[in-house]
Amino acid sequence: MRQKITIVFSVLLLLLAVFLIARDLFQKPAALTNASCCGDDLVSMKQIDVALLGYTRTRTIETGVKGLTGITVDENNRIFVCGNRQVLIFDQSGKKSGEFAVDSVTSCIATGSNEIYLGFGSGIACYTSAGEKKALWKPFNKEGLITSIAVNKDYIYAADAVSKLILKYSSDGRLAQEIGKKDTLTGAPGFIIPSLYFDISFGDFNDLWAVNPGRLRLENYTIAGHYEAGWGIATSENSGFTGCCNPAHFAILPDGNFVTYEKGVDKIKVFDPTGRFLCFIAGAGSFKGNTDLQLNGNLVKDLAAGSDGFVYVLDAYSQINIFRKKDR
Amino acid sequence: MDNTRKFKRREFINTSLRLGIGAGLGAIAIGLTTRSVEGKTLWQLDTSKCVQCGNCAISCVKQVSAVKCIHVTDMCGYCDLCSGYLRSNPKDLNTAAENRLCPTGAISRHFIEEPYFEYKITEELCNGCGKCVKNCGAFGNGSLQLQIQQDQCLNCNQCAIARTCPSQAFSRVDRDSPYILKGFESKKSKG
Amino acid sequence: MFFKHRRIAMKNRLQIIILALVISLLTFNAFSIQRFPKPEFDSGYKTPAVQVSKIQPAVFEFLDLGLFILIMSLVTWMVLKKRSRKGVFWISVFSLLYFGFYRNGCICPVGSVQNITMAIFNPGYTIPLTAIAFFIIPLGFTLFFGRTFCAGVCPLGAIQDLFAFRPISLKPWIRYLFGLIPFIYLGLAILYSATATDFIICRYDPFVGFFRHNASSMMFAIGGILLVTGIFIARPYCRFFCPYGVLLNLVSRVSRRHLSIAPSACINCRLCENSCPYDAIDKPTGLEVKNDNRELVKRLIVYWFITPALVVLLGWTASKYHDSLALVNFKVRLAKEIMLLEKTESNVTPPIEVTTFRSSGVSNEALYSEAAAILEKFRIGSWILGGFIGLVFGMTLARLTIYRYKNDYTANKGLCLSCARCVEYCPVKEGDTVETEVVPVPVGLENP
Repeated sequence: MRQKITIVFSVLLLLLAVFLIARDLFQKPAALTNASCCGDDLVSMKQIDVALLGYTRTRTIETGVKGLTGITVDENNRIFVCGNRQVLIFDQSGKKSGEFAVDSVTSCIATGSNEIYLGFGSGIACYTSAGEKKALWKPFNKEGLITSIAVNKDYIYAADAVSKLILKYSSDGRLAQEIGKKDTLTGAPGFIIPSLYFDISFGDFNDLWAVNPGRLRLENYTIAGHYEAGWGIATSENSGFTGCCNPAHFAILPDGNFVTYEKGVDKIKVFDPTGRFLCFIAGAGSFKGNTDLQLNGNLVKDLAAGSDGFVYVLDAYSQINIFRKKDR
Repeated sequence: MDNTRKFKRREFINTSLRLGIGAGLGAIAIGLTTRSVEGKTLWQLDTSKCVQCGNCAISCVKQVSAVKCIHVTDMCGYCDLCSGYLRSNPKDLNTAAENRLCPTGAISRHFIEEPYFEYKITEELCNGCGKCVKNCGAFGNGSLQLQIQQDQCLNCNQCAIARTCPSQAFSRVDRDSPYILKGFESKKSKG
Repeated sequence: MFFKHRRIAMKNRLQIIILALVISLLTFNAFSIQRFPKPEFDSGYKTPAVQVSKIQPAVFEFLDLGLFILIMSLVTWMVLKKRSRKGVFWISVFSLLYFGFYRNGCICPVGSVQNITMAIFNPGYTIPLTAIAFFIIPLGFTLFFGRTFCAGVCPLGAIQDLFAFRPISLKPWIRYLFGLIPFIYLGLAILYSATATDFIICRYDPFVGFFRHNASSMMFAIGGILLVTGIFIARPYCRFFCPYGVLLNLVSRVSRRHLSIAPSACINCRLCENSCPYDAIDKPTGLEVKNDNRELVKRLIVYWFITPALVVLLGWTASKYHDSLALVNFKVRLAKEIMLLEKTESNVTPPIEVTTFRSSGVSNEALYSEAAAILEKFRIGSWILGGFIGLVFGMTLARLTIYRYKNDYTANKGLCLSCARCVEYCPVKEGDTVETEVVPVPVGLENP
């Protein structure tokens, strides 16, 4: 009798094992959610207060070209975008007014009075606005990478993210000066560039602004290359910049305010010239497309400010988004 | 007499079956050997496909996952404000435990010189959750990457993480190149 | 004048070519590798090396293979020549410690069935040489000497053997019914590995968790259940689950030699009758069974008709459920999830595998067609699986009707695990001649 009970019990246990295995095999695996994982919640960090949106989108231009990396706007408010061995020109209505092919992958673009300057990896190429190549300047650092170009009437300034310097060239391509070395005498802090983001732009007072991404600051230099001052604090609040190296891109509006883009959280903010937060232009939710995009990619590739006060944003979906200040 | 014949017949059937099975086994062995590899291949995850969902930390057959965060030091920015090390909205900008991102405290840092810091991963503490990897990828260079640490991996016939990986980033790799790290191959080719 | 012009033109052309070359070189340098501006350290700090562990050379796998063959030979010798239970026992303890606990149970012919299937059906899969060897060698040994692999080499068997304290004989119908499980398990394992879906034998290996001191609580629970029931129902995994055991069982039936209970002629002393914990000793049959022969033949014929019917019926039934079976496959599951999401168009956040798939740039249609191809494989596979199970059902039923005359106690070649326990009970010495005849021997078998 005891034997019988033991056998029945054992057989039932074996059936239980079969049941457990079968259930585990055919059961739908427990769903993983984005939120259940990574404690430092990127999703909530990317959210912006919609009440603080000070700009509104007026137009989206589909470029139809993948892999665009740079955008600039000339004084006639024509929009130039580059990347993928191409330069495209659009007018304000979104119509393509020109395009030409270039013989390298370009990283950034700037326009002079009659020329277009392109970052060709470590070197700089100069094209006429009709798309004819005028010159290719010898790279300062063969391993370098030009991430931003700014042009005034005398000189061309190029930011080299690998050399961590701003290179000042005369219009014939001669290197005139290296700007931004660490210098304890003048107090120049030196650029810290942990990742390949290094943007420069001209300010209102014929001065040069550059991001010091490792310090999460914007720094001001004279056009002669002397360090003047800077602003910016490390915070995940609106009042400063977050992450290890931000802002990734910036532009200066005609009224002197700064438009900044922070990678990682995908926020476009406006600051006044002293570094006080004014408003948002866009957040991660502002850019959407149907193209392929890795989850961790940055949504914004570059941005520019027009003389009309509009903000032009090139997003990862190959669209140009034009933002206008909201009416009060 | 009848039974002897029966017995002999059975013996004959057995022998022919034995020969048949032997031939079948031989055919399988020879057929497959022609396209086999010498040693076992190894499991690895492709960092370019990884989305840091946190599955590696919980799905490995080992209680502490064989997937670890690997620090590709060549790609590190040595930042003070490391988004893989600090929470992105710390109370204060210091390295107190509540400001650190890693749930197991596996990342430590040492001051090198102003303003650079070196980051190190204590492998025994790392559980492969990928929190630091996600933030390093979002804000920084992506020098922190998830990889199967091969001496920890039991090389299961079917990797339990691979089965549930939402981006199907796991595959078997050749044992000559057991790691798929971004920015690491280039260093190796240089020297 | 003309020449000069021409020279300039040529010089220009040359310049352009060089320029193009330089540019192409430059661009190659700039974008072929992703470089990062490493900080320049004034303190002379050097970047430390990336901490990745070294790989154990493949040689160790072949050393294991050598050891495996050695132990297989040793056990076979112990079983067939030395006839020593003690020897088999200690070898099995060694196998448990080495292949089980030291090598983490992953020198495993049991799972290699799947590698072989996967390699046959998926030409892209590269199978390690050792996996082929671990599949073939035990089968080869079994073909000649019986299931000596089960006796002392398999760590899964060894751990259960230690727990077989109070084995109780099972009723035949339970044995036959549970004996169907390994066939179903093997069929499913082959279906899933042939479709490159999963390796379920390894996934539900009940004891590997003990070997590694590391497993999910469910697997520990299943392992625990098998060990506890193993006290009363000896080696339950080997007898009622092991898919490789199915192959060994079938091959062993035609083995050239096999463990014999008595070293020479059996004297029918009945001492060994209860010695086998696995109910693998066939008892002598009485003569009276022969009278029923006619009736048995009738039943056998019925089963020959029933078996094909069972094959078709179960094949059809299984094929009805092929999409449920296919849901184990990741791609099929993903395609189904996405299809459902597209249909409902709701604003719930989709699961992460869906968002990941959507960001990968592969179109839904491509996924659907891939999933459809896998489903088709499952449809055919489940027909075969169902048919196979039907065949096994039929054969089991047919086997019940066949009576083989036995006039002494012999090990059932299919079920015997060659553990050599029975040998210890046998009083017959080698070279002994038969002194008494307890059971009358049928005519014609006096001098086989």
